[in-house]
Amino acid sequence: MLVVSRKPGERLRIGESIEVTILAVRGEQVSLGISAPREVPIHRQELFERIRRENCRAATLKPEEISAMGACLRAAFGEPTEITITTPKPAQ
Amino acid sequence: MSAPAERLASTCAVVSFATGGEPGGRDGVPRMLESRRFGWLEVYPDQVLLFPHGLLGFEELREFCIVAPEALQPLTFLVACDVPDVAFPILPAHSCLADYSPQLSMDALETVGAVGVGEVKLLAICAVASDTMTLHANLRGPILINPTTRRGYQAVLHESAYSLRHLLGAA
Repeated sequence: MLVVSRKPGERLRIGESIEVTILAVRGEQVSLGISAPREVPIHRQELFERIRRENCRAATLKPEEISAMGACLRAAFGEPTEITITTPKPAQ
Repeated sequence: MSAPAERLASTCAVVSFATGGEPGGRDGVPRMLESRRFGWLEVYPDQVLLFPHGLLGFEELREFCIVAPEALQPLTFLVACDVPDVAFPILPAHSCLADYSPQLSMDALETVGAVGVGEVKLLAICAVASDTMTLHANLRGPILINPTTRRGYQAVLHESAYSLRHLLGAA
């Protein structure tokens, strides 16, 4: 890991298109300003990790959890979906 | 364990985003996807959504379709076209929380080719907590879909009170 010491107002450049500015240091907190191209997503690491974990959990539900989902849904909803289904799957 | 999967497979429809086309007269060659949960899915180009950044943790998967098993309405599944066993259960975010109004960045809207929030559908990924068998929706990382451009994006709400595990109901 590269370690760089910077003062408030100073900048770092990462590659050709990412610029990080140290805006302020107050006690334990550092404020950073980041300029990056739109296609580079920037996330706080801990929130990124939590959403990633939730995604992984949701993508790998077991059959019994899907069944439980049906029961939960019946308890929670009585309304139809917002998305209109226009194309039924043709019979195989 | 195969019983629920078979039941789902017999009544699954793939959601279409075609605008103005005649029913039955669609263009393009369908892709046949096989998934453990839904069986064979016939997916036409107008049913494919492009997620330019993928989803968090699944950045390499860019193309998705939405599968709607009749038995689980209003729940649908965001199914990865390249790995159809990767399927995210999703609900319209407003059916999870009626007054849901997240602050979406211009970047998020631009990624799906939208100018305003009114052009996008907001969806929440759902999951069951296996210990408590309760259903939760992720309102902190909502899915944006622009049906017109057929583009999607998972937004991350940094400064937000919305929950990552918004409780919807118990089994």
